[in-house]
Amino acid sequence: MLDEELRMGLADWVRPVATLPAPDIRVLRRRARQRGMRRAATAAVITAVVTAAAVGITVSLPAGPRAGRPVVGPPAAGGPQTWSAAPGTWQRGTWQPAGSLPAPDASLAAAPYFVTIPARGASAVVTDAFTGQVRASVRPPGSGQDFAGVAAAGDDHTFVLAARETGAVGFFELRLRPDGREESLSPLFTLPTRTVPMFAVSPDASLLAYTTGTGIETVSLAAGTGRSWAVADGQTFSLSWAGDTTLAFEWQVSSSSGAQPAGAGLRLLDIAAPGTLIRASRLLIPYCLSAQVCVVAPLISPDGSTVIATSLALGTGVTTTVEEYSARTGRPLGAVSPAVTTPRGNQACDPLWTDPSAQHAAVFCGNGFVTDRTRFTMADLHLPAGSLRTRSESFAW
Amino acid sequence: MLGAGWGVSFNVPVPTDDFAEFYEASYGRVVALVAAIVGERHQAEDIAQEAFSRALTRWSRVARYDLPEAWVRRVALRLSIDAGRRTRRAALLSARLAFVQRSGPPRDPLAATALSVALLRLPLSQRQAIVLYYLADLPVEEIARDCGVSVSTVRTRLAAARQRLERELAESDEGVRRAR
Repeated sequence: MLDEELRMGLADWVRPVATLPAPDIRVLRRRARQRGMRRAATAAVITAVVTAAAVGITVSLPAGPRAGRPVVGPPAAGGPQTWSAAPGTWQRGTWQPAGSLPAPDASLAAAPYFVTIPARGASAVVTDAFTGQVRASVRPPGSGQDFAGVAAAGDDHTFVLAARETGAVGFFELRLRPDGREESLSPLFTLPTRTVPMFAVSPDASLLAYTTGTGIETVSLAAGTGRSWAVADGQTFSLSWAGDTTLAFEWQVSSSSGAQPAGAGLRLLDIAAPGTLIRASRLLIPYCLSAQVCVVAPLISPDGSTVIATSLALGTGVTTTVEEYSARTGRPLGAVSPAVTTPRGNQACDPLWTDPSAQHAAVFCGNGFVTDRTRFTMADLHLPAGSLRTRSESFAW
Repeated sequence: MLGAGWGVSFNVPVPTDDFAEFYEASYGRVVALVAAIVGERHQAEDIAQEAFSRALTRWSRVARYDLPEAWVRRVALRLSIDAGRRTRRAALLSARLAFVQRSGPPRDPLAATALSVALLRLPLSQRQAIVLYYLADLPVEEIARDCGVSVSTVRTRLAAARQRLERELAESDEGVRRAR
């Protein structure tokens, strides 16, 4: 058989699968988490066996000095860094504080508008949650830009949008009029990166936090000054603010064994505290509560009272539940969404939003299903079909 | 400066490169490669996703490689070997494909052809060599690296696989003529 025939025959045969679209990147993240859980479970078993063996050995040894401080993770690289905006990257004067924020016990009626970014990012769509009516379709200001992420302030009228362009990501502040139409879209600043970071804006829209390859940075949108929070190892995810003082985030470390350091999991950062990311933050919920149950994708309520997060339980399949936890003690308070069990966890639910005091929560369950645990149903939210296919960063309320 | 963390990493060779962009650009190629080896679309997608997922968790390191896709491909190859050992799917599939050929146009995106049936009857090591050489268009040196064997072993596998494919395809042609 001729080489060329073989070449063409093979190419023709697999052509239909070569053009399959890449699945949502969340699928990969979920796989990675599950792999980590399996390894953590294995590591836990090994640790238990080794510890049991060690206890048997060390009972006859003299007791050594106790450690004075619990281990919270690897030493962080470098100290805290503060910086000011470089010339040309900061549009001074365009930022304004968010409008008056809803009271902690405000109903959803105080916050009717949510913003989604369709898969291609050509526009950001403002929808009225109660009528399903699209109120505005906001286009990126520059040609060659596409929106790639959105975060909401607490007043329901202020959003921060990230727009991807060649070699950079620009942040913009979107203001809505009371009727949900676009009032203004103002540039805030630009990051020299091709990777769109995860980001969150504080409820009063005074601070923006975003992930970097080396930790987290927090920026004062009023002053253009910021602070870098370095971490020596691992990655940070799932940022959310409580007030303008506390930032919730997830910290995980990749390791071949799957074992996580003692401080891995959901942490709360006091942005006024000295020190590096790990030293300035405290562990609220460990990454894995047991060998079989891990907690991911946390979201803190704006009043700082509650955290909702996804609980993944390994059994015959993967059972996911969005649960509520105390932001003070980390204790579980109850389930927000019903448990969903799938062979691979592909339908895992992630929290998207809470109202100021976590009386209501919106949850994305991988298939466009959004629910509220108290009063609202999917029909009430009028989420456009397919609008959340890409990732949870494409939704803000 | 603004964005100290990004500023630092921006000056290092591609440490914060865009995984999403890489993933979307190379996913189809990796799935096609694995599909040609395992002969089944869904298993190929499963293996490819697992390989990309591993790249995602190590992206800060993998992004610095000259060819991140080569890293993903090697992981996918290892996974396809494991899958092949577990299920011996090739043998089962060849029987199923033969049935599909008789019963009308298949709905599976990986439609059976005489070549695919013959390919899936090859031993896994020879199949890998053929797919990497003819489909991925890799030089034998790189195939040797991917498969963890010597260059001469790859050449031997390719020669043996070609011989066997020619024989199988000739027999297949003969069978068709007789049926007529």
